[in-house]
Amino acid sequence: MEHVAHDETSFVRPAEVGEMELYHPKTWLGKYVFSQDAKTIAIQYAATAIAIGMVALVLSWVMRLQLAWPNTFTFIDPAYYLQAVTMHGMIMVVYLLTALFLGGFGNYLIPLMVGARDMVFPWLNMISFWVYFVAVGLLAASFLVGGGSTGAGWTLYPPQAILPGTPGSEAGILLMLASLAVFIIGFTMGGLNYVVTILQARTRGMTLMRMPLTVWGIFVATILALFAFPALFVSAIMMSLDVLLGTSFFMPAIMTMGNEADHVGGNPLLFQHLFWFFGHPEVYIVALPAFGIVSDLISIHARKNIFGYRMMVWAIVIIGALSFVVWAHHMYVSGMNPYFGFFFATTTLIIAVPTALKVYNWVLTLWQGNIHLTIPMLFSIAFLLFFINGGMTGLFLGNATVSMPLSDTLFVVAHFHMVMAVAPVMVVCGAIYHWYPKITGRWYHEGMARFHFWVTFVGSYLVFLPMHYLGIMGVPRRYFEITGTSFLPDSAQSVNASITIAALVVGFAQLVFLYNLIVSAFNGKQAPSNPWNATTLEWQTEHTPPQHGNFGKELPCVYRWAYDFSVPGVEEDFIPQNVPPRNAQA
Amino acid sequence: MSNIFTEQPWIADTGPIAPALSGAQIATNSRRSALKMLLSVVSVFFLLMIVAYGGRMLYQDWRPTPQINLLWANTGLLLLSSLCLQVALMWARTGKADWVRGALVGAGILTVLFLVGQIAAMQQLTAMVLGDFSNPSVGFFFMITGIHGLHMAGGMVALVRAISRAFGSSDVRAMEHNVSNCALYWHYLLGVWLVVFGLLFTGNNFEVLLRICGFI
Repeated sequence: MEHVAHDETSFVRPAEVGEMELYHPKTWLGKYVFSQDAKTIAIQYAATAIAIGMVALVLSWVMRLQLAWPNTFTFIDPAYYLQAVTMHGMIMVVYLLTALFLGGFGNYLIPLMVGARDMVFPWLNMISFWVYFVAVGLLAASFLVGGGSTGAGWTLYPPQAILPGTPGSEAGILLMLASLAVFIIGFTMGGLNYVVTILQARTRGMTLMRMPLTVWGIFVATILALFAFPALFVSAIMMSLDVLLGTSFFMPAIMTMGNEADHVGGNPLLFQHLFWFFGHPEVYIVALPAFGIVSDLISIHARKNIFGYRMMVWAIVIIGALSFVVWAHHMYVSGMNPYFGFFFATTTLIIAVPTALKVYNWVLTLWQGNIHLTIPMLFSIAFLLFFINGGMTGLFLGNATVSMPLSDTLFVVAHFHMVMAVAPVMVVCGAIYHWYPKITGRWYHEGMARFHFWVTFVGSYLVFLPMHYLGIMGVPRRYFEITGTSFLPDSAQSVNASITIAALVVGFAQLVFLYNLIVSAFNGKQAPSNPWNATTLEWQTEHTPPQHGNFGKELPCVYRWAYDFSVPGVEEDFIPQNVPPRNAQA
Repeated sequence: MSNIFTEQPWIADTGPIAPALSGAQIATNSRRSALKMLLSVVSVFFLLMIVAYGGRMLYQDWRPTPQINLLWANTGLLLLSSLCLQVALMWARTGKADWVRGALVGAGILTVLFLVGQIAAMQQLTAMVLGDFSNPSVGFFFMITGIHGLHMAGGMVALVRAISRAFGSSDVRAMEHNVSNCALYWHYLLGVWLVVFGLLFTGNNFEVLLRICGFI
């Protein structure tokens, strides 16, 4: 290395970073419940998100049981089925994945990775979690009210969402809308914290272009969310007013149950535009943190610097920007102007370019790397496979002419589960296994983790790959029961049953995963402070798990990027970001 | 300051490292950054409502909101409160602490009057339409003025804190930071109100709005 000639003491100023005024809790409640420490808040977010996510997992089993063996289970009626479909979708997308990636990983990793003591607004951060908790509570309450939760589909399209006859059209839909509005308020508090912390509280030497890609992914996803969620907020308010005050934002003049409704001249399509203006960036709100995290996992566990770091950063930024101009590809069958459809098909295909670049770069990072088949690496490779698969089917659905016959079939369900459900979940699992030794100070059970990986990986393929086939055959989504469809062979039902068996097994594997995480936190072997020989700052803390304030007396000083692996001429195969050039010599 | 376009992050440092900010600087800069970010988010929020309003206007059964003259007076009150905060900021910069306090209280009173005026305008409209909210333009009126009012009320929390700090301390420098943030927020919400009021509630600006929304 030719850039190591300087003695660090000659140019590094004394640590000017005074301790930020940290709140030091004096009570048990202040330390563990109303904590202002981002790490505790992260765990609270993750625990709440996983808890409500387990509810959504059970709801998916309800759907699958009905589809595999129609009318065998008496507790599943058409209304309950639709409620399960709706709540499964909304919980998984918003309350699990968004909250887990941004509230969970964002809170834990941002301050540690940028070298800050905490988020810049710790109090607001604490409030953000509790507002999220209330939102989850409101959502859960909708299961218990008269009429049950809404069964309008996760897209909540009016007019059917609020008309009698749709399950949960009384209190259920209102609780859903209120919960979403509260969620967005809470997220805005948290999101401002994440963005401002990254912009203002980075430690010395941590330039934007030295930030790990994990931080970049969370950073851009947070900005997307801050700008996309207002559309959902506006539509939630407008639909609530349509229900409560009798306004006609979305409700046209319509007959319902043989009577004329009170509404006149509302525009249901307006809701669809608002919803998808939020809905498509939401895909990337989930995907970008996953992109960032998996880049770091691949680099660390292949002992190789990430291929094309700058390209990876700009791809994240460009994907984020483009995600705001593709929303109407979700509405091809709504009857739009063909030029409008052409525009959105074009932008949709353009967004595939930076996304494909990322895939190439991940593969090129693996190429000739010293690949360690650790659990995080296994999940990272699985992510790649699922993401490539889901991305390819996205090319079909992005084209208006191809998309139309496939609309509302299981092909669409298979596509989006591959690309924005299973793929990000692979990253979530890989990331949890990767950072678990840092968060708990202990190792998980390796055997259980491998069992979890292989069952989840193979099982998810068995669930979603055949679903493409069913979709191409024309099996519709959201149907309680498929009858009188002569174009479907009997084998379609057999495939449905096999999918359900696989889904039940995959769900069981997640219970093993949770068991492993919980039990190992108490009984696992003691983990060293940097077990993966990683370079980023969270692995360089004085204590494991990191204590309040994250670092020791002084904040670390950053001299290099996060990807100095296998540097020629250096004895060890990694150089942490805070190691001065002189000390990095062999 | 590194350049994100030209930086080659794979090269380790060979020169002085830029100092990071101190804790106090982080706090001051963070509040300002967070406020600017929040205002960007709020902009998207109001923009979407205006676009939704424009989209709804395209339909043949569109009926504009009845005129409410009280809104002109309310606009004047908001303008004056914003002006008070600008003057307070000017005086904070020149060290006139007592004058700053007076201007802040004036801004607060004018804002409360604005909010009361907005509620009165909503009541007037309710009476005009005899409680029938099915006309979409009436629905938009309530939603947009209501949400704007909620933002003003939220701003009042910050303003009351700034006033109490201004009376509790004579540190003009600290006052300046607080007043500056309040002034930015007020000017911004005044701007939003002027756009909303001008486009939506001062007669039938159908064509102007359609042009802005890109429909014609």
